[in-house]
Amino acid sequence: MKYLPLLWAGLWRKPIRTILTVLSIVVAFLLFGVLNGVISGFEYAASKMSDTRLRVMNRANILESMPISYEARIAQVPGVRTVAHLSILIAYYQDPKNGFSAAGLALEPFAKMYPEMDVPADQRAAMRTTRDGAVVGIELAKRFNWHIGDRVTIHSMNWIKEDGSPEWTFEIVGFVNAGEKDEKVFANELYFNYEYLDEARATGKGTVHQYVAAIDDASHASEIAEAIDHLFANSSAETKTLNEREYVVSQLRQVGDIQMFVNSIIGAVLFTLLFLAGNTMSQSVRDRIPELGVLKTLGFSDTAVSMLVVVEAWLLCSIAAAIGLAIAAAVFPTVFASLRFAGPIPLPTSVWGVGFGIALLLGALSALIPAIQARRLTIVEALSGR
Amino acid sequence: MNGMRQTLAITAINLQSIPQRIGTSLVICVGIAGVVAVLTTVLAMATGLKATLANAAREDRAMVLSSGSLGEALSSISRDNLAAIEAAPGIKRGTDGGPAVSPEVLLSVNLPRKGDGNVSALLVRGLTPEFGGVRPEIQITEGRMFATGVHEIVIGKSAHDQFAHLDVGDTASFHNGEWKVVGRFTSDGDVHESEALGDATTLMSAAQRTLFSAVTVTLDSKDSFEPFKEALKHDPTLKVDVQRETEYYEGQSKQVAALLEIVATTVGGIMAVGALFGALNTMYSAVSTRTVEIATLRAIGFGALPVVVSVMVEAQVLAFIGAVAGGAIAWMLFNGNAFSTGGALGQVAVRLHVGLPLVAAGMTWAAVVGLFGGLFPAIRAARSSVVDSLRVV
Repeated sequence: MKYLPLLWAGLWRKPIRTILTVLSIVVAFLLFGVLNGVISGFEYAASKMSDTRLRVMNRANILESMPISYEARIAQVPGVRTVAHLSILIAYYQDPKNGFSAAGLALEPFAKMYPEMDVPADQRAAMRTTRDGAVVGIELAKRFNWHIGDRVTIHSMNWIKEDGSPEWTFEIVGFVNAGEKDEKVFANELYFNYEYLDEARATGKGTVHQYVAAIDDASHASEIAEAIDHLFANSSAETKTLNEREYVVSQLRQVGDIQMFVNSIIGAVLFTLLFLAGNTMSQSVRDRIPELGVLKTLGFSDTAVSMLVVVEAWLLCSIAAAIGLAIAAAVFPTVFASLRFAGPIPLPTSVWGVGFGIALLLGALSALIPAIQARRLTIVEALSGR
Repeated sequence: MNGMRQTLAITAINLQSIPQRIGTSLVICVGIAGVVAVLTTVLAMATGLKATLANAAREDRAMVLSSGSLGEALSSISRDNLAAIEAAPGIKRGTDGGPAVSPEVLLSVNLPRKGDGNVSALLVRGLTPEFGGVRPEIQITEGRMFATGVHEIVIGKSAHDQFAHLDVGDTASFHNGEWKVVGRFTSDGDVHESEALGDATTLMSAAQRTLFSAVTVTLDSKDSFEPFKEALKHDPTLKVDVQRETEYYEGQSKQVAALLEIVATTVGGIMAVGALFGALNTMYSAVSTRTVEIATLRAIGFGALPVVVSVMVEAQVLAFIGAVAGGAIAWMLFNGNAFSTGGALGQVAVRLHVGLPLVAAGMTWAAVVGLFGGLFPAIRAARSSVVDSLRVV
């Protein structure tokens, strides 16, 4: 600690150089924070998913349907507590650019299974009494400026009505996840009554896309999933049952290998940066050879002098990383929410941890050669440098 | 004239002394190489995607989808509608007089991928026996074409690369049946190579479908599109959208390509700012190590402008080297690589293409970073007082 003023003075020996180096490292950690945050955010969202819930879907594809009669049969599988169903409606509002998903379901049993799906009691009651009623995720409502009482017409891309029209009109009777403290997990979709969909649609009557089965014990998840799939084996609609976490991960994987893509970018950024920081450090050590000679003359050991170099690099990298990650934390919730996967969430803490870890590693690597140089320096050489 | 000679002289001295400052000079090169490599790679994904989808498209083909559906797989066309479409004007007739109309059904089926074995969606396209008049580019390269009325499929080249156990002779199980792979096909490198093809009627009965997904027709010329479209629009029994095939595929790639372009410019832009700081650093230190030298030149009569120009030329040369290196890295590592993207409805394999326009874009970015990275240090070098600089000695 007593060397702090010395380190500080070393950093500010060439202010412009230090500031420019810090800024370029800040930029790198800003990118790292946001990109890695997105990946961790997906993982976080997946981890919030329960392993005591199973998703049953058609083995062929998520958008193929199954008879609604499966519900009662799944409910009888030992270990299954309750079952709910949902039917996906891929939609846009006014312009194909404004895409979102909607689900036809029975709200009460579904919401009972998902405590985080917060809809006020009076709005739930309104859903029961309004046949074409819908509750809208709060983020979605904000996006299109929808209010309770509005009648909105959305365009469905996978369900047409009996008259051939793909336009579906709903009356908004409530919001999902509107509470201050709600996690915004059901905030980007629209939920409406299954009966309304099933009566009006031209095809696929009496079918649903997915069942959600709540089970007693997570440790029996795979046996129960097998039992469900076995029930419908060799039927016209075979099923595939996954626990919810696997389900979310498999959905993300469809988009492409995001993780590999992001990691390659981060790798390129950090490599570029390491080179830059390493160069600044060795330059700064070279400039100060006579000063290091003086320190050695005053009795500083070889190790102490090389440690000073390393710690100075750490200080530089950590300050820059802290600023970069702080900016990343400030912009991250907006960036993540714009992906419309979940609501705005804070920058995951793991990103901070990994970020500072990288900063220390970066400092150590960039100071390696200069530190060795400083260690090998003899007093005579150093002082006669000029 | 004198100024020109001075500029050349100082620039030559500067460039010749780069090897002595190789470490700091490399900072500019490496920084810019990083920016250019990331920028060109991500842009190559976007252009690759556009190219893969555009390859499929022909001006003289039109696609008929049910009104408002965003893609073939989400569309549905009944047999009655099909008859009305076949009767429309402008459709090319084959030698037997039949219209070149291909009603198709699209099914997404989940199958294990190569490598990790995770399931992904494969698009299976059901075709009627008449499809050859509409899609002549489909060529069998191994085995034979599927037969009608039986559980057989042929697999596209890219789909074969992506999915496991789909060699000729294998069977794939989906929709409650075993489907024998009897052949492999190419399709001019377009998006259909990421699909499998089978008999429409057999696939529809297996998937319990009564409706086709979409209809593709070949027109007798590309000018027949408008009359064809008008005729379908004014038919009260039809609720359909008619698009040229080119328009359809442009629309399909637009969103993802735009997203990739945003990612490329945002990430590349932020990295460029970082590289700019690195370039400034390098050039400031290049100028400061030469303080005495520059002051000496000024003292013996060299002007300020030649000094400024020489510093900026140095920055440009280093930036150029970096850009070439970055472009080369992107080309060597990623050109021709395939990545797959898509969603629940089907995966598309896209080949990255690092071409000249992208390299040019990278060069431009590098030049801009080099320009600003050189400008401020150059001004500082020119402004410093000769007397003060020489007194340092």
